[in-house]
Amino acid sequence: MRLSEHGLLGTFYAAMRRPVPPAGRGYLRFGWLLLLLLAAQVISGVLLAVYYRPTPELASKSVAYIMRSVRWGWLIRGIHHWASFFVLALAGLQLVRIVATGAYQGVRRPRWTLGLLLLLALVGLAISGDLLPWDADAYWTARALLAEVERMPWLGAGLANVLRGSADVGADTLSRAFVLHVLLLPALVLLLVGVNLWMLERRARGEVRQ
Amino acid sequence: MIVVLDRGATQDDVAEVLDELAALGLEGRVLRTTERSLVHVSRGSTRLARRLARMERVTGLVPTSGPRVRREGRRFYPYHFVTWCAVAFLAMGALVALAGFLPPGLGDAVDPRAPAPAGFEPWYLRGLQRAAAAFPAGSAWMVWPAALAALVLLYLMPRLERAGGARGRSAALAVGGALLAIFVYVLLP
Repeated sequence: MRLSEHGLLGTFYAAMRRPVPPAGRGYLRFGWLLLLLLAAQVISGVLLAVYYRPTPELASKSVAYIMRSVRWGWLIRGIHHWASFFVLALAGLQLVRIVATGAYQGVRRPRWTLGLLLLLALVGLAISGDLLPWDADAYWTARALLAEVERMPWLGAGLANVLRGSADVGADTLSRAFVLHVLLLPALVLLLVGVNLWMLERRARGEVRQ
Repeated sequence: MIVVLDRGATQDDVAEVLDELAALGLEGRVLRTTERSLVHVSRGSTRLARRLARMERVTGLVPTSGPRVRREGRRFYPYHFVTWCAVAFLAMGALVALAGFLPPGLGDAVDPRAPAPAGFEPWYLRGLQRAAAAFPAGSAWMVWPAALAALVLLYLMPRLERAGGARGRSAALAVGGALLAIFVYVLLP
């Protein structure tokens, strides 16, 4: 059975009606929780992006505006902040669980690679998100982080220059962090989650040999 | 599910059970009519078929899907759906409560001439700096190859475990445990 034969809705309906093996209940709840938190991050992130201004002069003012003047803005930012914390914590726990149970063997090996890439993308999202308020902490974090990146052998100086954007940490650095946080990394996360779900669905339908 | 009729049930009683099943939108087939008559509910919701217990001639309902359910598990919808919704509801409640009671703060304005604020140390920087401190002076750059090596080791875990044969699982657990210990050490405040 191909996805195109039944469409997304048909696949979703079939997945909802599929039996859950007794051993898989806990994992299912864990995975769904991770998806729910990612969805909360995407929705709250889109709402925050409506009011956020990615320039050094306006970034911290726009964050203050979101917190103080936008209706429920403080709650939306809080949800985005805490969802990011729990997504990372759950992804880390999932990694520990997979290693502890050896659940990366056989047909699940490609998903192990995807999971590691997803974890790296989530860490990247957390780091780039920390820079966006562009307050004193964010500024000094950017400086310290770029100093660490510069230490990287061979690639470090070039990569730090690309991330910094200009001679010193400033507007270009912030806009790069914004693009990473709002466009590139979320697109990568969505792609990885989508491929992961597709692989899971193929396996559940018995299209992949155990 | 199998519907068991009492010993005195006649052909008419069996037909009445089949009619009742049809009225509920279910399908049934008669397994036997001697001694105790048995009717198998071959298609439809067993939940609906429970109503047959109210019939005068029906003495019992025997579920037949037990072994299959134990082997394959219950369907996600509707059996796990409610639990999942409850977990999702609780998680969102916890998230909203945390966002309400412990909201992220607003930092000071940027002043490039001022020194770095005291006590500021994001977890990822703490990890990098603490790992760099573990290397001899002048070789702090080695933190990056070390981090890359840890990642490659994690990526290769399935192959390492397979290559290790009978001891592969223990070796993988030892490597995973060591990586976790290092990770926790460099990240904990």
